[in-house]
Amino acid sequence: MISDEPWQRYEVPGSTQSTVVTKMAVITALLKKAAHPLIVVAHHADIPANVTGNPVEIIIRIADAGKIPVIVTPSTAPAFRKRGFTPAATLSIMEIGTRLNDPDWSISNDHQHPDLVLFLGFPYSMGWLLQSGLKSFAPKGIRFISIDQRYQPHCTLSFPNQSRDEWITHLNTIADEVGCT
Amino acid sequence: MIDISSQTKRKILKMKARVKIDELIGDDIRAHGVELDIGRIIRTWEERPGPTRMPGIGDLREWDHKLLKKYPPHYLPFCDLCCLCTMGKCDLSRGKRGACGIDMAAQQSRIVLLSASIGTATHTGHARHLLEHLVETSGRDHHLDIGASVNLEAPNIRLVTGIKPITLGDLEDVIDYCEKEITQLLACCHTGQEGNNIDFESKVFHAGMIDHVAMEAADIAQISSLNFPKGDPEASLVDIGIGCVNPDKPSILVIGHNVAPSVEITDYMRDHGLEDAIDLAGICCTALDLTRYNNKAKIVGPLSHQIRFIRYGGADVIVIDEQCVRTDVVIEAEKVNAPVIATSCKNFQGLPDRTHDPVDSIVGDIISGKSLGAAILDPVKAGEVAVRLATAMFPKRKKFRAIPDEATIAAAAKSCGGCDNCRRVCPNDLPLAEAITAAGKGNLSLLGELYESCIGCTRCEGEGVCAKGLMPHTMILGASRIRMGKEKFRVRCGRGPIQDTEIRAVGGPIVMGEVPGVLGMVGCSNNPGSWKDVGFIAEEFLKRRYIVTTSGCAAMQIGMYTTENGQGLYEAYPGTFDAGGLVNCGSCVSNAHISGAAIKIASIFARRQLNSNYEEIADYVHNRVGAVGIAWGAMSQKASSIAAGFWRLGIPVIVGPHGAKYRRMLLGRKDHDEDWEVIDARTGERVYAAPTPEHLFAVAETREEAIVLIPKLCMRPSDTTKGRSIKLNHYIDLHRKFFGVMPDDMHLFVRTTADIPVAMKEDILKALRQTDWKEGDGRIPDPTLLPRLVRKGGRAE
Repeated sequence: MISDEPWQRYEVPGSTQSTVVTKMAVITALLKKAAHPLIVVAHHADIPANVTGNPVEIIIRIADAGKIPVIVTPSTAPAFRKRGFTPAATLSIMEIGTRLNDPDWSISNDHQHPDLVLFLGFPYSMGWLLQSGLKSFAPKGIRFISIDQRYQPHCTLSFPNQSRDEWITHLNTIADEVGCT
Repeated sequence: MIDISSQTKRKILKMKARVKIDELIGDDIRAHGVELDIGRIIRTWEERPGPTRMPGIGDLREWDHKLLKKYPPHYLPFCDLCCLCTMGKCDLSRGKRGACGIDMAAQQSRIVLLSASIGTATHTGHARHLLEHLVETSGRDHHLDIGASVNLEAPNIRLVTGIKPITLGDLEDVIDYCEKEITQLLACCHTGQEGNNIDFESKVFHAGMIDHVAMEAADIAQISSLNFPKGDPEASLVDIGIGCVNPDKPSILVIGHNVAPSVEITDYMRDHGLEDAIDLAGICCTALDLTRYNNKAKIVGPLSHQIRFIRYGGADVIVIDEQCVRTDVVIEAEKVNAPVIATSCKNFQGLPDRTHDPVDSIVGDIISGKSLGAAILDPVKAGEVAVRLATAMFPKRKKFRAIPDEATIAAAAKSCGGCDNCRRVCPNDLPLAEAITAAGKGNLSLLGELYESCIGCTRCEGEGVCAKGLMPHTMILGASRIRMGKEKFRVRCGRGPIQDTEIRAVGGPIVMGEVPGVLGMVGCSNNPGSWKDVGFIAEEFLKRRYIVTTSGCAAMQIGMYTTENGQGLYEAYPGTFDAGGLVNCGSCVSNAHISGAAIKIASIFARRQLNSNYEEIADYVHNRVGAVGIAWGAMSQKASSIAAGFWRLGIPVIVGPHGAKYRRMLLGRKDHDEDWEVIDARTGERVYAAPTPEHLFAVAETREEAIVLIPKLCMRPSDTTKGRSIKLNHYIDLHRKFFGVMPDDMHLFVRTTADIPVAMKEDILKALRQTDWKEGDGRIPDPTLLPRLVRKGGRAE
């Protein structure tokens, strides 16, 4: 199942595309190294729980363990609030894009512009369009990583296409490792 | 002696004239056969012309740049490459420039311009062909009559061109202007022309403005010449749905947008007493316009219903005209032995041109199977051929279908390996393999559940997609065939323009904010989920007494939704342009009546000068008229040009997730206070007016997000305290309803405590205390972005 082609077969990226990441240690190392990491979550993250877990719950674990702020889209916010987690901000997918493109923007006065952004829960085409925009218009030097179930071609790194169980396992691995010093 | 006084008495602003003089005798001259060509005769009407009569591509640049400063483009490159010239392909990603020097931002805006120009050209081409036909049938001097209560008959045309059209012939001048502008706009897309993204965007706005002019010309021409409903809020309710077409009768299916052939089919049926003997049904805007002419005609559904109805076997003959017609329609029709008649030179579909052949010969060749169909560019002849073919093909075809039964589906589905290749080409990422696997085990319900969310593109059946040769779309149809036969709803046929009297009645409450907003629900059927989401959104705002206007495929989808008690929305809500009214204006070209209503508010209610005065009217609409466009399933280039016409008027537009593929949004930054200053026209002072409206073009991730965004984008700087309170009430209430909490940005919109909805006062004050909110001085500005509109005594800063 694991593959590094865009999930939507007709989304043919340009001359550069995301490097596939299958070793979760790479992501946790980058998270630990980042000065201002950020997680952005859209509403596909809130899919019904199964035996292996719910992505929203795992993101909360990652955020808590790594003290990483989370921005969610309006339709995603209730899933976090009902688990007692308050996101750092609620913005639409495209508003998130405008903020990430703006080098002067930060979540609050205590933060600076993020240098590492994780994406999860995006409707596939909205994810690739947002990330395509960031690839060309965001300030240089930011790492964008898609940790969605499907390979996204416009980031720095992306999970491959994988089964739901594999995906949940990978997310859990990050959650387990990110809090370890 | 030359007498042109009878012409000059008519108040037509501009027209071409040719004067022929058989014999001219003067003191010093004697001549025979003199011909004089006069390019334009400029005449006046009751309103003096403003500063921008027939503006060119640069004339409203300053206004566009004001809007684009508030709402800068946010790009979503659909493709990293440019492949428009032979120096390329060029990779423009990550700051690179192409061989011509263009960068990614300019390239994205260039493609947006190309898209909007295509859309505008398509409406203009439609208007031109329709007008030519109507001039031929009704005469160039046919007096335009679009209703006794519609004195301001053509707000877009008057505003942009300065022409007050009186006859069909006057509309030819309007279309001449549109064609000239489209040529210039397309020229801007050439390599080595415009290089600045904001200037490209200004031209996108220009394309949109021209689009609304052309649409208006097309619709008022057909309303008047074909006697469509003339602003009638009680226009007929007509049938919609696949199940409305009687399988026991011969049937004709019309697809497209130019109603002329459908009118001729109707006339032929009437003339030959066949109205009740043959079912005439349509898909897309031709269907909507057909029901404005013939309320016995039926609407099959939006454009997503094309292949499903053809494969369902419901059509004995298919008549296509232009726009949004499946380009594989002949191949699909052949599967069910239905002939195709093409009636537009824009859309021959490879069929032989039989325009000048005798009807008997055409009909005979098709019935005998010599030909799959014919192109017939004479609508009258096409009408006769269609009717005769339907009658002849009905017993021959026996409503032959290309849809399998349940047992066949279940047997085929057993071979599905679950590879998900079908899902990976589905625009909606539908779980096709999962549904097919279940069907293989005898459970067809999952396939049936996909029926409403499938946009009917058939990419899942493309060559090589399924290694086992399965046809997922066909399987969905097979699992839904009983339901398709029962699919019956009602839709109000297009009423055309908004009456002047309606504008007088609601203009004030809209501008004051007491009618919380006007929604324009338009666009195609490229929905991210069920088509019912469109009706769901409409119902939410009808219940809240917003004015919901609609057109095109969106109007159909609103009809294909029922309330909890099983009532259709058109049956549950009146068709008046008033609070709680559901106003179906008609087809795509009827969109001009929605923008026209906003313009009319400025002209009729506020008495702003209309004639050639675009910038001032747009400034009025942007700052005062709480209108929002929603194109949930927008798909086409026409949808982009329609949206662009609203943008130039400063009216925000929301699209569904697929709309992000238009590749750029126009988004405000509510966190940038300096972006939200307006000039108070009374004093000339610049004052903070909050992000009202916050965005000009935004995509919503879910229908709930769209619903919550709508009331927010209806807020305007001019809202009275009562009006703002009503709008805030809906915004906060909907945010609570769908997202569980009050919005975190409401402090931006509460100017004083008087703005706070009474029922929520305590909660809101508590929330405001947790922010840096400070009560304002309560002055509501007379808002404008134009320093020249500051009144005498005031001084623009």
